[in-house]
Amino acid sequence: MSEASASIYTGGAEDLAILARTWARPPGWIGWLSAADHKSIGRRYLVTAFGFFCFAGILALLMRLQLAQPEGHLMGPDRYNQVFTTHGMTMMFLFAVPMMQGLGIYLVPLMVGAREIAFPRLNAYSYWLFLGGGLMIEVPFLLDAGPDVGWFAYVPCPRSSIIPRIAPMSGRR
Amino acid sequence: MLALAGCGGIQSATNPGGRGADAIYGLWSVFLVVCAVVWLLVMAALVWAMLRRRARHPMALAPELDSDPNTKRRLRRTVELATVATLVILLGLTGATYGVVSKIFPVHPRTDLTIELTGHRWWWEARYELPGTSASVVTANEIHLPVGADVTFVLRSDDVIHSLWVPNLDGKTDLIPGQTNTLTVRADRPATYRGQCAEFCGLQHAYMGLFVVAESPPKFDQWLETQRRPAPPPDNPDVRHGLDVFMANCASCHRVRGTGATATVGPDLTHVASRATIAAGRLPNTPGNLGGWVADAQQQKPGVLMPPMRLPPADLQSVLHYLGTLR
Ligand code: HEC
Ligand code: HEM
Ligand SMILES: [Cu+2]
Repeated sequence: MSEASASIYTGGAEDLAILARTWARPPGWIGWLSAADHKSIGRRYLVTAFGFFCFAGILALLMRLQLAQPEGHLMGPDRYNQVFTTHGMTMMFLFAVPMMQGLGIYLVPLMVGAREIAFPRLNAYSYWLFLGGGLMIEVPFLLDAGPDVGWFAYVPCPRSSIIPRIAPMSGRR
Repeated sequence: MLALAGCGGIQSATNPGGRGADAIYGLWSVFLVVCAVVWLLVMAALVWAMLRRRARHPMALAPELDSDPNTKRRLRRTVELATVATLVILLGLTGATYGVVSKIFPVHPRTDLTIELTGHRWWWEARYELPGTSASVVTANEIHLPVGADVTFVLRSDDVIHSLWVPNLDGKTDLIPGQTNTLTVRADRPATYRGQCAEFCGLQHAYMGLFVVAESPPKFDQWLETQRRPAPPPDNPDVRHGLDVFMANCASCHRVRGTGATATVGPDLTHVASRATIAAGRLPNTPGNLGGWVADAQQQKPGVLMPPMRLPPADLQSVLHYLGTLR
């Protein structure tokens, strides 16, 4: 600590204790769940994103197995469409983006010399949303009800299961 | 050898058979050579730099950059040269790309023949306008073109986004509902190519193929003449019964010109027996495949928009005989 800031600081051991209590994590599994420390949250992002990466990687292997020979019979078209859509969504939204986010959350406060990321609890909340949202994408897939219209879901393809034929628009009928 | 296995194929951009594909293949080759040379030069420079440093400072772990002003000047020269070379190469490749794009999509393309191609889940409807008449020829999944002619595809979609891709002839162009796109192609020699829908369009997207038959102008004219004829009337009782079965079960979706069947939900079957494949390239057009398809199309193309027909065997035989007369 430089001399200038040392001379501004007027508190004592009591203040430091309050600070330590504020930043401390409650004991037990409740504490584990409510951790807000940027390093824990960053690590959780990295580990979770890696988990999703492995899951999507298994889907990639399934696709390559299906495509390893013409007329493969590993899965039907509906399942295949679910597999590549879920692979694409998982890789992009549950691996690539959160992996970068996790690295940032872990490293940036250390790099700029900050004690924490801004809004640490919001940061922790985001992690749980990420985990929950990710599971909401994977569970329907495991139940054979996953999205099957490609990760881009260009309309009107996603609508076409609800509205079988949109009105012909070529103007010649 | 393995890398070349794709060349010479009927669905391959490395076996160009038309103007657009030629231009794309040329551009691709330029990119391949330029990028390979740049990569080799960069790798060679890297290896050279590593070996040189080692030789000069055998003991040093992290040699300092030379502080000698001469060396510094040389370093700066090298970086400047590399920057200028990078700029020149990137601008050159950009220019070459624009050149090819303007060749593939000319502002005012010449058109000798217009084909309206409409995408349906999961098949292609092709309509040929016949010059000088209001008549047109409608067929499906097998497009014939005269070699050497500029053929303009007017691309539309009846349901979702599809994309026309015949790699031996040209690049991709999307078929978008509510919008009309055009693509002008020219085939340069007689050959048959396979195309594929290249925009995911639902369950049977993978089996939405098509064939393009490029043939000499006289052969093409002969084909068009055959296609424009209506279906012949049945010439024996079995075939007549087949037509009755067709009218009762199939006419709600299919058209056969010359009969009362005028629906356009499924492909026009007026000359179905003349096509080499059925169901958008899914199956060779053999009596066995046709029989299996008409009995239960869901077996070969699950989810296809043609229901299993479940006809009594005798009726199925008759309708197949009828379809066989639609040459
Ligand atoms: C509900 C509408 C419907 C009915 C009824 C129907 N079809 Fe189809 N049919 C289709 C559709 C849609 C296709 C295109 C399938 C595809 O390739 O995706 C098709 C394709 C075909 C094809 C292949 C055409 C080609 O060139 O690829 C044949 C042959 C055929 N149908 C025969 C029949 C016969 C014979 C019957 C009556 C026994 C029948 N269809 C009844 C909708 C129907
Ligand atoms: C070895 C690793 C991988 C393999 C073998 C693989 C395999 C595949 C295959 C076969 C498809 C296409 C399926 C089809 O359209 O028929 C696909 C699609 C896709 N992949 Fe991968 N993949 C791998 C890694 C990745 C990674 C690391 C990412 C992103 C971070 C990724 C993102 C995507 C996306 C976005 C799609 C498109 C999905 C869609 O069309 O909806 N993939 N992958
Ligand atoms: Cu498609």
